[in-house]
Amino acid sequence: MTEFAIFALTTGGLVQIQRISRERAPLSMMVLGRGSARLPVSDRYDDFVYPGGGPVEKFFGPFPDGGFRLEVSAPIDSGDSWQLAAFMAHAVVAAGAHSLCRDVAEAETILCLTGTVDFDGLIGGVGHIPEKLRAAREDLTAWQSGAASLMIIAPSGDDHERLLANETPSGLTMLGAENVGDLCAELEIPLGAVEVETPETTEAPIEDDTPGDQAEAPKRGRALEWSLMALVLIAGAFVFFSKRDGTAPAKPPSATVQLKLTPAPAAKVPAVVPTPKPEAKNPEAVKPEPAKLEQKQPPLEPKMPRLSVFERHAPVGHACTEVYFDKIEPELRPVPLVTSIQFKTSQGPALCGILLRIELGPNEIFAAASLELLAGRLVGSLRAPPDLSGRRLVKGRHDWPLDLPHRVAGPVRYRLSLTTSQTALRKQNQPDGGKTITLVHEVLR
Amino acid sequence: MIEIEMPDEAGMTAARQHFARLSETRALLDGGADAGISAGRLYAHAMAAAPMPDAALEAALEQNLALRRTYRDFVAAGAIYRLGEVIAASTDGIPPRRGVGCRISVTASQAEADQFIVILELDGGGGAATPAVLVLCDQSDRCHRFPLPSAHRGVIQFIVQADDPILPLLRDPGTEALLR
Repeated sequence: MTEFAIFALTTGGLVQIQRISRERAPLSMMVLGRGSARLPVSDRYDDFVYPGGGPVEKFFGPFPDGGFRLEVSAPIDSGDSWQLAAFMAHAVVAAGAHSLCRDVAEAETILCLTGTVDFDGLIGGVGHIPEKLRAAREDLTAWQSGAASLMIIAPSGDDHERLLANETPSGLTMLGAENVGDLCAELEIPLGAVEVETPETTEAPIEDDTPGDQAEAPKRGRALEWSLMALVLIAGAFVFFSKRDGTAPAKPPSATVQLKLTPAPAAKVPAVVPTPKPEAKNPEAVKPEPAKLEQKQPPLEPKMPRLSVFERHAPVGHACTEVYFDKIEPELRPVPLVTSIQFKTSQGPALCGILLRIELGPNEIFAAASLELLAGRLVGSLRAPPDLSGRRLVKGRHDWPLDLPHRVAGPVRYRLSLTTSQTALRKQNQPDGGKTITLVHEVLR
Repeated sequence: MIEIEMPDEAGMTAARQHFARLSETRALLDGGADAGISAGRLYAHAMAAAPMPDAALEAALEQNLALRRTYRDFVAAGAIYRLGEVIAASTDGIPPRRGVGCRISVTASQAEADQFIVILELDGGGGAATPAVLVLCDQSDRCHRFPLPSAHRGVIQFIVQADDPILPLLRDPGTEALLR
C-alpha cells in the first residue's frame, strides 16, 4: 500500500485533495477541508463525476445513489486544471490498495498535478505552468528533502515542455502524461479495465544490491520481473530435482544472465519514475533495466471514431430561446445507447435540441457526417460541420449542435451516419478500407 | 437615462453596514419608540431579494404580530415555490417537505458527524425562475431568510453545521418554507 498526497497545481499555490467520501446527496461537492463551505467550483466537479457526464464514473463507476464530497485544503475558484488531480485522487481511493493521506509527512509519494481529463481519459493542456510552479516553489523545496517521492505531472506537449524549461528544485521527477491509463500504469494505481487486464498488481519489493542504480530503477514492469524470477526458480528447481541422485546440487543458473534485457526504444510516456524505497538485499536479484518500460500496460485508448449524442436542456429558470441565441450554455446530458444502433429516446420539457459529438481520435483521417431526417424537423441538420465533409483530413472532437424547432410538436427521428477513410470521400460513398457507423435517435416533444 | 454603477461584493457589504449603522442611530435618536412602519416600507423590505438592514422595521416586526402577518403575506406573495407545512413530525430526523414542483430534504453528512446537507430539488417546470432565498416562517409568523447557492441540474444543495439556525426551523413541522 502506498500513501499518496495529491495536490492540484494552481496559480494560487498547491491545493491538496485531502479526502473523498460519499454523501447521500444528489450533487457532488468540493468542500474546504472538513468544513461546510461548498466551493463555487462544485458544479464543475459534479459534472466531472456525474454518471455519463464525466470520466470518473466512466472509469470507476457505477456508483450507488448520491454524490461525492471532495475535501480540498484551499479554495479553487475557477478553471478545470484541478481535474487531473481529482481524477488521480479518485483512482487512489478506488484502487483500495493505496490510500490518500491528509498529512504530507505521512506520504510515501507526493503528486502535484495539473491538467484536464476528458470523458475518454485524455489529458488536456491547461497553461500557466510557470506561474503555477512559482506559486508551488516553497512547498516543493520543503518536500524535496523529505523521504517521499515527489512528482510533478503536467499534460504532454507544451505544458510538459514548459515544466521542463522551468528552474525547479533539483531532485524532482517531472512527468508528461497523455492519458490517465498511461499515468496510472506509471504510478501502479489500478485503473478500471486496466486492472482487470493486469494479472498481477501486487506490490512486491524489488530486491537490488546495486545501490548506485537504485535511483533510476522504475517501479513498473514488476509483473514481468516476477514472472522471469519465477521462471528462474522453476528452472533451478528442475535442475535441482534432476540431480537428486546423490550428486552435488547444480549451481543455479545466474539470474543476471537469465534476466538481462535488451535495451529497447524509449517508452511513450517520459521514463522518469519515482525513486523506489531500498528493499531487502539479495545477491541473486537483478536490477531492473529501463527497457522494462516497454512492458507497461497498454493505454486505455478509447475506440475511435466514436459517435455520441447529448441532449441540450435549458437550465432551470431559462428558456430554450436563450440557448438558441447563445445567451446561456445549455445543460448537456448524454444519451445512452439502447441497442447497438439506436440511442435511447429523448424527451423533456426543457429539451431545446441535441448535440452530436463526433470523436475521431488523434490521427488525421477523412470523415463525412450526414444526418437523414426520418420524421419531424431539426434546425441545422442540412449541412454537417464543414470539417466533416469528407474532403479534408481532420482529427479530434467535432460537435454538431442541432435545435428542435420552436413551437413545432411531434416526434423527431433521424439517422446519423459517419464514414471515415484514409482517402478523400465523395458523396458519402464508403471507399475500400473505410468504415461507416450509423445510429438512430428519436426525440419526443 | 441615469446609469448607476453597482458596487462589487465588498462595496455592497460596506454599504449595508453603513445603512445599518444609520438605521440604528436613527432608532436610538428616536428613543426606541415605534415610529410607525408604512405599508410601502414593509412591502419593499419583504419583496427585496437581499433587503438592506432596517433596524426600526425589524424591531417593529419583533413586537407587532399584525405587522409580522402582513410581512409574511407579502413574502408569500412573491414566492416562486411554496412548500407549506409538514403534516406530521418525523421521529427520525428532519421531515422532507413537498410543494408543487419542489422538495426540500435534509440528510446527515456521512463524512462529518456535526454536519447536515440541505437539498432543494426543483423540477423547473413552466420556466420558473431559480430561487435565490429560502424563507422559513415559524408559527409565531417570524420569517427567517437563508440565501441559497445557485442551482445545478435542478438541485440546490448546501452544507450546514449542526448548530445552524436553519435546522430547528426545518425540523419544526409548523414552519412554512417559501422559495423566492
